[in-house]
Amino acid sequence: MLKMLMLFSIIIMVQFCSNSLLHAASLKISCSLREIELGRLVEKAKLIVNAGGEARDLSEKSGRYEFAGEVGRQVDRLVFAVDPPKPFNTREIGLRVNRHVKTVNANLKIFVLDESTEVTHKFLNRGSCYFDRGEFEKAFAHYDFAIRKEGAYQDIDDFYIKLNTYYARALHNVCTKLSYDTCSQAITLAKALLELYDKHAPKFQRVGISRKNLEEIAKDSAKAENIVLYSEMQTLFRQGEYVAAAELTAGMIEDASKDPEAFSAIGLSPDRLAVDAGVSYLKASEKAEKEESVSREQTINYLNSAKEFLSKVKPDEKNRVRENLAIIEERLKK
Amino acid sequence: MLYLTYLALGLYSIPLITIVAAAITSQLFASESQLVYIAGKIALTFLKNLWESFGVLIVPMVTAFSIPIREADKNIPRKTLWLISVLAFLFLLSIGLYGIISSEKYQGRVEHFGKETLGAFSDVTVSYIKGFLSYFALTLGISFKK
Repeated sequence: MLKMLMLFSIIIMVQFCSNSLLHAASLKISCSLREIELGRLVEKAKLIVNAGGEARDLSEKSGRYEFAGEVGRQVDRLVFAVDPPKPFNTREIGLRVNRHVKTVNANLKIFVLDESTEVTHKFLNRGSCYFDRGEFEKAFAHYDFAIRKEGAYQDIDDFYIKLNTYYARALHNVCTKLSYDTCSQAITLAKALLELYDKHAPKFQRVGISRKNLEEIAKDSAKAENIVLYSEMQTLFRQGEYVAAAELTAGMIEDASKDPEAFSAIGLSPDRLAVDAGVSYLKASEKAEKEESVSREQTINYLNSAKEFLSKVKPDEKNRVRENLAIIEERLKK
Repeated sequence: MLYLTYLALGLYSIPLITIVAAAITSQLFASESQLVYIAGKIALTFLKNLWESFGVLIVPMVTAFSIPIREADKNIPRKTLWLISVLAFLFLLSIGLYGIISSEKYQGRVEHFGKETLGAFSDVTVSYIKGFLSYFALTLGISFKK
């Protein structure tokens, strides 16, 4: 009995270890924390990185913070919580990372501001120079501080129009240039500002903001967001998570019907997405049949979904729609 | 002499007039107007350095045109009436401006030009309220003398 128990625990331990090794990710993180105005390194801050639900403290060496080690699972996002000593403000930064790489390398320059800094018109104007110099994290730190201190909208005046537009621009820049996970936030804010622009156009024009500026922010951020979504779908497909890949693509098709330009800008046509969704469902049905993991009814549902998506596409030599539809018909008849 | 009194009052009211002009040009402080910053600096300088000097200058001038005697059948001189009206108008203007600046919405807007500007506007309008009320009382109060 005792032997059996020991054998059983050894099996569980081996399984656990092999799972961990299979999904473990190695992290190599290096950050410098600086005050925004003078650029001096900020020491004695507490930096925590959250990788796939596991929090790790970064060790400090004169204003530079590092972590090298493993986490138990693959990560596609790193969240940094920065808690500097007074009088500086706290920060939270979300970073997109490629989950396929064995070692996630992140090298960040994080900026903090003095909490007592007044958020005024001059403060907002001062921050716009960071955009011109390509200092995107500085611009983000600057306007993130302002928006946290002042709140998003309280009044439709120059101040709030500038604050929100510059913040949207900062979110967009760090999303597209520094891989921060701020794309969806930038899109939401830019769309809200576009709605506001249609009602109060002269107020926006007075501070030099055109509709085109806001449209560009929304479009570019959507473009970046869609690239991320599409690569996520490809990852799921490669990993054999066909249903999840198909569902994600179906969501993208819905988005593309509302904003086709955001997808065509990255070379994704509605037909291409429909082929991806259809093939994903077809592969899901094949996998289900092979593994006998789901009922025949569910497999038929997958095949019907695949048929539905593929029938919308105009067949040509490249997309192999005809062949796939023929396969689907044949398997439905079984 | 009357001309000089109005000139002195005009100079004395420069910060108040600039604040009013700033409020108009910035659409009640909704847009960023340089005049708001200028008005803030003028108000601050006035409060710090010139307030008492102007008080010293204006008191005798206002006194000179106050109601001279208290007799029921005697008309108040036209010049004095004008002066009282001007003082009353400036008093009301200061109160109105203070009301705007201290209301939550506009206070927030002025604060976006800096706490210093808000403080200067607030302090200078309160000082004007007190100042104009004193001169108003002074112009009337002389009539109670025997």
